[in-house]
Amino acid sequence: MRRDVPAGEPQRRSEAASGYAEERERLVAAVAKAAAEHGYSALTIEQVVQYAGVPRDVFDAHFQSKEQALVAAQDAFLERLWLDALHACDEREDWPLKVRAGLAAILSSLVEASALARVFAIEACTASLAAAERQFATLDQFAALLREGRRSYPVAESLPDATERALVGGIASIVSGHLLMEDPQAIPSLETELVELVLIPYLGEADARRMASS
Amino acid sequence: MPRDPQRERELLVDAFTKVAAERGYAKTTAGEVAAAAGLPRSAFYAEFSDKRQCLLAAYDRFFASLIEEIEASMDLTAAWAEQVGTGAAAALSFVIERVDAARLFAVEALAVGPPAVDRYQAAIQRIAGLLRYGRAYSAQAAALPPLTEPVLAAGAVSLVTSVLLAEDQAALPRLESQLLEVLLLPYAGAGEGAGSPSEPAPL
Repeated sequence: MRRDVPAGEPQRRSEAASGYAEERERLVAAVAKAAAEHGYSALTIEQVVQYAGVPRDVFDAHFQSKEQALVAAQDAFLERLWLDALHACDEREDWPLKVRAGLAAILSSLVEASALARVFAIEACTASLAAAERQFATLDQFAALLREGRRSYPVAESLPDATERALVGGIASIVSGHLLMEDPQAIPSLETELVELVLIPYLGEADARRMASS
Repeated sequence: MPRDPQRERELLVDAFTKVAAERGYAKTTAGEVAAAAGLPRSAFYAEFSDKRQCLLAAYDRFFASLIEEIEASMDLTAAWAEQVGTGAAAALSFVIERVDAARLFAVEALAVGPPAVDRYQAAIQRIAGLLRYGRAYSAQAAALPPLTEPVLAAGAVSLVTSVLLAEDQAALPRLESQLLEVLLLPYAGAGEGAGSPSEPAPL
């Protein structure tokens, strides 16, 4: 995300900018750590500056409120999930394999960072409308990515418009359920079935199953 | 007149739903709920230890009524597509008639934490259970993965929730045909509406 960079002497500007960005990154990481440990609503700015190892006025230079910092940390979390999925997709040629690799990457990121995922994918949405809107925007983003499959399977053009959004929303909800029950270990075992479900509208049931379990 | 706890509880749950849907859960107080129910504040605390408990009771009431409406609309002797069509229409008109309450339960209620989330998951499972009847109407459906119905049910709820969140009420009626199509998708013949990359695009 682009932010205004503090003004400085021209030759020092890039140095100052990278220092500012680094500071911000450190604060965002500290927000994530504090949120994972104390919960979305319970974390305090004091915890954040302590974890970041910076004085309070540094926090104030970057964020106007705790809420703003939480939104930045949620954005960073969702962005990371998005990039993990994109990188995994890029490593495959065939669309069904892209789907499988992308979904696997998302699930393993969520399991690996399950405390954070619980905070930013679930708790945040119940605490703040802005956070819920960001979460839904991310679901739309993943739905648009999935929709690219229609180009590889022209007959899928006749699928209902909401197919991808329903699939992505449905899967997000099932996975969130496991995160909430603090049962992240069960998530990888859902992978084959979820891949199959995503592929069924494009490939048909038999090919989708073959592709998901091959 | 002797107290009728069952009746008072119903009045309080209805009043809570009305007040919290209008004002938001955070701003709702026990005193207001009791007043809206025409009861003294003490009546609220005779039934509920706090407003969180009342929210959960209201949540149960809302989803029980929603499921009842859906079930009542489905004619088990009709074709599956028709049953899903009447079910989706019933669910949407239920939501449209009480859109503020729907937003309260779909978005805000989760704020009370795990008990609300458990209820949300249970509601998804109930809807999934209704969808699972579809397997009896389609030979190919037996091979669908077990997660098909939970994902479909949660996907449908997610579509409705995103419209509620955007406060785009005009979009709700338009969801009906979308929901119907999506919910029927896996039960159509395998591969129907789909193809393989080797097939030419229809012109």
